[in-house]
Amino acid sequence: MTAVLAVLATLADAADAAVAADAAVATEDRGFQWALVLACWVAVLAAVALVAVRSAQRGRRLARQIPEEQRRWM
Amino acid sequence: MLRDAALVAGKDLRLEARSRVALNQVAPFALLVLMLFAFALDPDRGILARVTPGLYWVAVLFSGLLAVQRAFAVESTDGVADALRLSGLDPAGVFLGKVAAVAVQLLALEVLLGLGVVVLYGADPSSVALLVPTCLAATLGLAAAGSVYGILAAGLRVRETLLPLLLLPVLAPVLIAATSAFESALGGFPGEGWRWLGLLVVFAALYTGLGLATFGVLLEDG
Amino acid sequence: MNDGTSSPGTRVLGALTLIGMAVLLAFALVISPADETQEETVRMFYVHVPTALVAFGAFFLTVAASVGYLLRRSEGWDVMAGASAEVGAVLLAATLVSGMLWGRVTWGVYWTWDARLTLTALLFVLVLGYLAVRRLPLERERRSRLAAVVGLLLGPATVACHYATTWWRTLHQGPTITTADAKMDGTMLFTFFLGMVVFGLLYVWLLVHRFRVLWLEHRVEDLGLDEAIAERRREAVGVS
Repeated sequence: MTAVLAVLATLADAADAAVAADAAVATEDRGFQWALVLACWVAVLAAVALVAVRSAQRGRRLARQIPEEQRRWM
Repeated sequence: MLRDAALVAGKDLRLEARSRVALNQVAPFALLVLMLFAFALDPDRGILARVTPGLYWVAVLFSGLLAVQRAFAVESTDGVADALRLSGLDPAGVFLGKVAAVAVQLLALEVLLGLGVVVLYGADPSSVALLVPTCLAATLGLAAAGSVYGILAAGLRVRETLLPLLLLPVLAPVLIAATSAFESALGGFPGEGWRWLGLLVVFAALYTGLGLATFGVLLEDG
Repeated sequence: MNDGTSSPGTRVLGALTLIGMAVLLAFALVISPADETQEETVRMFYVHVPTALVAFGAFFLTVAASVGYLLRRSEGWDVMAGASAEVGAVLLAATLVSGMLWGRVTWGVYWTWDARLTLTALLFVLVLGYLAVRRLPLERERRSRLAAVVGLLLGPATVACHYATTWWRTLHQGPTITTADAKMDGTMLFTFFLGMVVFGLLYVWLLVHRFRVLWLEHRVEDLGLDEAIAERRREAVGVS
């Protein structure tokens, strides 16, 4: 793993440095923390909602094709 | 069971000895991978020496993938799969035979790649006591997991794309453990490598066990 | 009433889940205090840890259902394994996203290569592979058989992933709840358990729906190829 890491590190020195500098400025900032906390919740809930809605749509489309007596569980 | 395994392994190795696909195509591919790494990583800056264990095992993994694909492609053509089922061989024996045949090819490949690494990258193979068992355990793990997924994907139209997707994440622990063991062996502090060797042995035992248990299911009608 | 995959039972379950989620949001974002060391980022734990644990539970169910299928060869086990893996994949994706954002604040980077993160990422790829096998255009009995074996093989990865922090000393925090209750204040502990319950409910709710969708897919497959083609056409029109 360290070997793979070493490769990546050498290839992406510049990118790493940029991220590190960015992080040093931002860690103390509570506003930044809140922004990421909210982003986290929104992303997770939105993803779950998207999956649920698409699943429901697909279920409805499929259910229309199946005769009533084959879906007694509803 | 062991007799069946010997039969299947003998058949596969004879097939390989006659067709020479591994020798003529897979082995040059493995060396090519080593050379490509050297081109990509600017050999003058000493990176190559530091990342040798990782590159070695990535090269083994990729050429091993080809070997596995090849070993099961021969089963899916010409109705060989049906013949295998009709032969009445014990599925567990077939599995062990496949593992043995793949493992022998992989070991040959590893020796070749090892020579390549010593010659091209200047690695120092003096801690043989750790390197050899690591190779053996890693190879058994690769061959066992490769055989399970190889037979699973054999005969599917999408096998060339499906097999790497299924197999490479499973083999990632082997890559990590074998690389770490090699790092400590080549770096001159073999003491730490033994823990990783233990992980490799557990992995090999686990997938051999799972393969023995599930191969019958996978061999059912093609 | 019979226009989709819901039933009176799932409606109640769904309502409970939504109400629970609203209460959880209130507790996680407003009522519970900021942690002394983690500060506001502790609010991500109320989504990160429950989704992770429920996702692991989901994969264990996939493994168990795969074994069930291999023993019994009944359609129910097969569909159960697939549905659980689908919902687990969504939850594991949520775990990864919340973990990456948390890492960005705390460690300063989205990703580090410690054992747990690496294994979780691998587990995610393995599950994607499993779901790919379930989508193979094969005769159903054979596809179910292959999927069951691949599902069974998710087992070692899930176990390794779950115990990664115990087996290796890593950067990632160990199981906070079992080792250091004293550190967490009462409201935070309550919020955390509420999170477990709510995401557990969410999982069961989605699982039942996905189970029914997959089951309907099998029924539609049975209806024959002609209908399937017509349905695809309608679907394509609907999307574009």
